[in-house]
Amino acid sequence: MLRFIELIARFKEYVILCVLIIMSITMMSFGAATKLTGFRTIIIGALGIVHSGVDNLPNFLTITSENRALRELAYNLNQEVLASRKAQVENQILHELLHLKDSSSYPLVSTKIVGRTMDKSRHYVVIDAGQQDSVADNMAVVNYQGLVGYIFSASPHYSIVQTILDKNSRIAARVRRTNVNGILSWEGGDILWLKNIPKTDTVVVGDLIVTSPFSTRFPSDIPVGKIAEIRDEPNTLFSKIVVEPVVRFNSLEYVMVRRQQPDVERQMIEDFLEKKLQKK
Amino acid sequence: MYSSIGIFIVDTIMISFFRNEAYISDKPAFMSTPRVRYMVYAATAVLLSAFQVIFVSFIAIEGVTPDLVLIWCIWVALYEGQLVGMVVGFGTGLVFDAIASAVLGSNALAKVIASFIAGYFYKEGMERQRTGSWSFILIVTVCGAIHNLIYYFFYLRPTEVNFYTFFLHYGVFTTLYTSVAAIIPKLIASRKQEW
Repeated sequence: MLRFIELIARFKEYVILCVLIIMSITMMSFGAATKLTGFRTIIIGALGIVHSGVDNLPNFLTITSENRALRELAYNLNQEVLASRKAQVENQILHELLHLKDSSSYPLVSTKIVGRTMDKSRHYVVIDAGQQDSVADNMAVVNYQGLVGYIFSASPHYSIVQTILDKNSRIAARVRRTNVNGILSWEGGDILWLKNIPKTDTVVVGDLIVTSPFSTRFPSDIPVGKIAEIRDEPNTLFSKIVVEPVVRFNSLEYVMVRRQQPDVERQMIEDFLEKKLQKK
Repeated sequence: MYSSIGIFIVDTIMISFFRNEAYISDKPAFMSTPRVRYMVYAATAVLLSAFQVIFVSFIAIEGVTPDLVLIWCIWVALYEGQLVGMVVGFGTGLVFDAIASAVLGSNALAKVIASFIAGYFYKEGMERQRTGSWSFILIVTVCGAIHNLIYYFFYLRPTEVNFYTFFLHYGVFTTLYTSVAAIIPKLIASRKQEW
């Protein structure tokens, strides 16, 4: 026993290293970042307050590119305003004719971004709306351009939004023109990848990608991006498609939370099916 | 004047609490006690993690940010040795995971191993020389590369994200940016050495 203790004391650095590694891996295997809900809620609230305080500080490294992007945006918006005035009138007539369900039947909560976290594989933003504004986990977050992300966690006054530019992004999406469905994912940079699109499908550069009705997390038909490049994957039946998000994440300032939570019953039945298939 | 104040503040936090007796002798006695030092390590871990999450994005280049928390862990390992370095690395990693809403344990694991490797460069009585020389930058680069390799390997492997592309883009540039950021504490330490 004494020799064993001596042995441990002699190699204490290695023993402690092993213990700490085992502890870390055990914690990682428990997984999700939302496990410490109460604790994280306090941290989100505290960080939100600090973020609000530093929100007005300019980021000198990105200010030039932001200015350029804003100028382009102002020009494009001007063009779009002209086009949308005409479209608005047409839209109203069509709505009445087709008795379409009003797409804004779900109320939107308008919020301001008060903080950003860019940490290698994750891109979060902190918004100044929380549980007291009826914002809850998993609600979709959009802006006037399209899909921004979803509510990752909410405290009473602030919420963390996980943007679509995140390693955990898996968005069921479809090409609006051809209605073919695929999966959007992020692998770094400012682009998304659309997978599972058959080579036989006639997608072209510039096609708009929207959320699919098959998505359990996001409402359907929210614009996500435009096809920027189509790559031919050798030895597969599918193309790998580069999608440029429609949302300009660098100049994102205001977003809206769509107060509609994913269909819990549908998610449950799909999870049940997935578990059953995994067992087989 | 501002640089003197800056040096004084950083120096008070990062250097004067460590074990170099010759230096500590002109500071209040309570600073040299291990308990106070460890409390300062804990407080610094929390403050630095919050700073990393809130402010470091202001100096992000193409989404790449320096890992100040890692520099801190390596610094402690070079001042206190492998054992304390590992424990501080683990604790700091956990605090950072909690504050940054990361998967609990991912940063702790990478920082424990980085601190363990940094601890090999620890030599009693040579703490200031280590952190004040260019070898500190080299140690940060080596430990940073291993830290990022472990982080991306364990954290991104179960996902569909391409490990090699992601590591080359973010891991390598994060390591380089962290090494550049490590020049600041190195200069402070070397300047103190001259005094």
